[in-house]
Amino acid sequence: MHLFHTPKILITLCLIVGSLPFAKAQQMNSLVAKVKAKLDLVSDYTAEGKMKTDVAFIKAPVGRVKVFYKRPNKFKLQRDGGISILPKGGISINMGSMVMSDGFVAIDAGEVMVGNTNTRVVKLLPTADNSEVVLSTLYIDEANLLIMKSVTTTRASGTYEMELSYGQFAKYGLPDKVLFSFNAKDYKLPKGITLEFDDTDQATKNRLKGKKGRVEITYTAYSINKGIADAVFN
Amino acid sequence: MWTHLQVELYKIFRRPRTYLSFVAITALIGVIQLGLLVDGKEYTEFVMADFANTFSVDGKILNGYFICYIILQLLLVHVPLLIALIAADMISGEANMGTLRILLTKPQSRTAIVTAKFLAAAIYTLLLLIWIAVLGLFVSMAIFGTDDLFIMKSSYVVIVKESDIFWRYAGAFCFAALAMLTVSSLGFFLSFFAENSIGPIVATMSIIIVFTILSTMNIPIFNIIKPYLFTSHMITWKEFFDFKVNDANEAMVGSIQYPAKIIKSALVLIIHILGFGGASILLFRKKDILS
Amino acid sequence: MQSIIKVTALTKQFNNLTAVNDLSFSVQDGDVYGFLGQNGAGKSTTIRMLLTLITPTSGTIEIFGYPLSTHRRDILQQVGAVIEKPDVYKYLSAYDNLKLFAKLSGMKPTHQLLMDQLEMVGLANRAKDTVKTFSQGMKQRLGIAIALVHDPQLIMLDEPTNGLDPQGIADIRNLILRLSCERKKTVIVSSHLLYEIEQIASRMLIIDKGKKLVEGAATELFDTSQTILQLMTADNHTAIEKINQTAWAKQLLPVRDGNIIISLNRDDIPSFNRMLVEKDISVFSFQPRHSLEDFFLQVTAGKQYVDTFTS
Repeated sequence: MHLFHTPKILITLCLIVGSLPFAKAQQMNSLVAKVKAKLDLVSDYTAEGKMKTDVAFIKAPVGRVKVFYKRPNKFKLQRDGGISILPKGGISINMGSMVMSDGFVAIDAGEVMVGNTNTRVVKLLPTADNSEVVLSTLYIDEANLLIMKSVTTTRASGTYEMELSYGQFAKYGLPDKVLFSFNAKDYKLPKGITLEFDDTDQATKNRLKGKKGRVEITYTAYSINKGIADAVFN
Repeated sequence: MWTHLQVELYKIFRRPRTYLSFVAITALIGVIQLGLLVDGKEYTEFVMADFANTFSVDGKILNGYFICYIILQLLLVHVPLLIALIAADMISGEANMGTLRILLTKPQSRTAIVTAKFLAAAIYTLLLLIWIAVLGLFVSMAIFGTDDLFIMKSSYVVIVKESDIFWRYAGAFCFAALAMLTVSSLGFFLSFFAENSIGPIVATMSIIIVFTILSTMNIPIFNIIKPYLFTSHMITWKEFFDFKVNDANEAMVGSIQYPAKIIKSALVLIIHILGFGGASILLFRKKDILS
Repeated sequence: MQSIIKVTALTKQFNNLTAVNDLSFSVQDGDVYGFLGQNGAGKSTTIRMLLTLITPTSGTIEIFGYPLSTHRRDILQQVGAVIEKPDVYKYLSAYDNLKLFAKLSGMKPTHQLLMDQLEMVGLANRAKDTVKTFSQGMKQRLGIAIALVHDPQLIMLDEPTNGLDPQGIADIRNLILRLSCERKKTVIVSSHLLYEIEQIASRMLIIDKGKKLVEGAATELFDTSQTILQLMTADNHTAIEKINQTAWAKQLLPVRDGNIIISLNRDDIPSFNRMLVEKDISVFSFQPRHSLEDFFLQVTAGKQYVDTFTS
């Protein structure tokens, strides 16, 4: 049992189990490729949206954001005034980088309902040892070739979950709404800095503990394939 | 009484000591502003070190509103000394100088005299606070610009929308005025019991320091008395910078998380002000002037 | 003549100390009323009670015919006072101090009035200087200007010459006389120095340990025929022995300050002097005394009060 505690062993085990039905793997690879191809219809886009940060111990107002993307992997989230809090490193994982272009093994992990949509669960394992992404699980709506949900485990920043819902830009594979979940660690400030008498009651403290953090971005306007200068991403 | 109030204000503002407080405030705020102007980035990084491990904060944290919050946080601990310097001297200083007896042989009622003195100390206190507001808020806004206000509380983080801040500062300053008036009335009250101003000034500061320590220490035995210490209520101005969220954890603009807390603390402080003020008047009416 | 002040059975107790004990007296309109007593006799406490600075434990005070306790403001409108040291706001100029107190006296003082007032006490040329640069005498004069600025009918001066040089003392004395004679004011002056009071007072009250000793017209109280003399000799002990052998012995008083004290009728002084020469007593000095104690010895010689002042 002790062995199973090591993630590497676990991954290897998954690889073995996953690669057994080789034909299935082929199928998965082509599914991912199809999704990828659909996403590649978009060479760049800008979008405006509203961002809501929902972390138990963060009280923040809804902010306006602007998102820029350029193929293959340039992505920028720009706030439109105000201060925004984002999970570190997480939000830069965009549609483009969610689907690794090569150097991965795709494994079928069955079918799951995400909301009202039946999805195919595909696990992507990078073949390179030093890849930043350790494991990426995609929940793909096979009929529309849309990623409904993704769970990405990164080496440095933990596990992130994205739930996507689509509307009028579904044909480009671009979501109307992205719900980004992550494990928000409890944090505690040293007292001296806040100069605050800590009179938060225990119930509130408990409520603030161990909850998942969420960032929700609702896109209101996409401008697709209009060309973006590289300078925007600097 | 109006004449007497004019005379009291005239006396306060003809004394060099009075301006010392304004100079001190200007210097303190100037130092904070200069420090943050030069090294503000390091300061915010230091304060947010733990938080920044998990989150990246995007935006102009170091803006005028934030600076003013820091200034208020730091200054409202020290301003009582400057207030005590004048308030605790109102009676004792005159007793020490020997002018109290001349003052009281003038055809003014003692109640009018002591009320005028009390109000003069209160006006000085308010002017000091207005000066803090001018330098701490408006000058900071001019130097650092404005943006959302990012506040780290002891167990959570609050971001107040830029458009939702100014009225909170107005409220916070009004509340701070109550807190400082409490200090002023305490100093004033204590100034009855001495014939030199050092005693009451030191006594006022000692009470505030001891009470503040008791208020901040998280020791169960002190927690019982905390609600009864006025210093615990003096920092309730911070409650203006916390808002309610709805079920979806969305900020409710224009709301206050614990309005009852503010009202309760304000009442406690008002009771203290009236208590100290009333006791001062009663004592003064009966006091034998032996100085 | 009308009584300006009428004090009846005035008593003030501080804890266990009775500072003023059942004191009654009255001050007539136009009096320069001398209020005499040693330090701690209760003069200041009494004056402070007259000015409402101290609340009496019992007794009544009427000023201008009204009870002080109920007509405080109206009465104080007509009273000017200097109490002990003339303390004013040191960071203000003489002019500003005067203006400030004039306002508190219910006046709207003009520049001319203020300058006239300063002129009267000889401070017009220092009007704009801050008081911290003033000598004690100048402060005292400013204090008097403040006491007089609203032209009060009754003036109370508590030890007004304390800390003044001889010229300053003479100035105050002249001022009091002018106020009384030219401006018809009623003045109460307290002092522990007899010679100050005897030169100006028309009536006087002497108190000790809070109790009244005597009250009356100065001319009635002074027995000018009797003089207290102090002798300094080469050997007081031998001198006293020699005096004791004569008929003068019964007029000897206890030795004080290393001096032989003797009460003599003015006419007897030459013969007493002859006796000293005859008895071969070497005299260094031979002079009359003017202290309050001696005055008491004089007015109360042989009476119960002697002990009080010589013990």
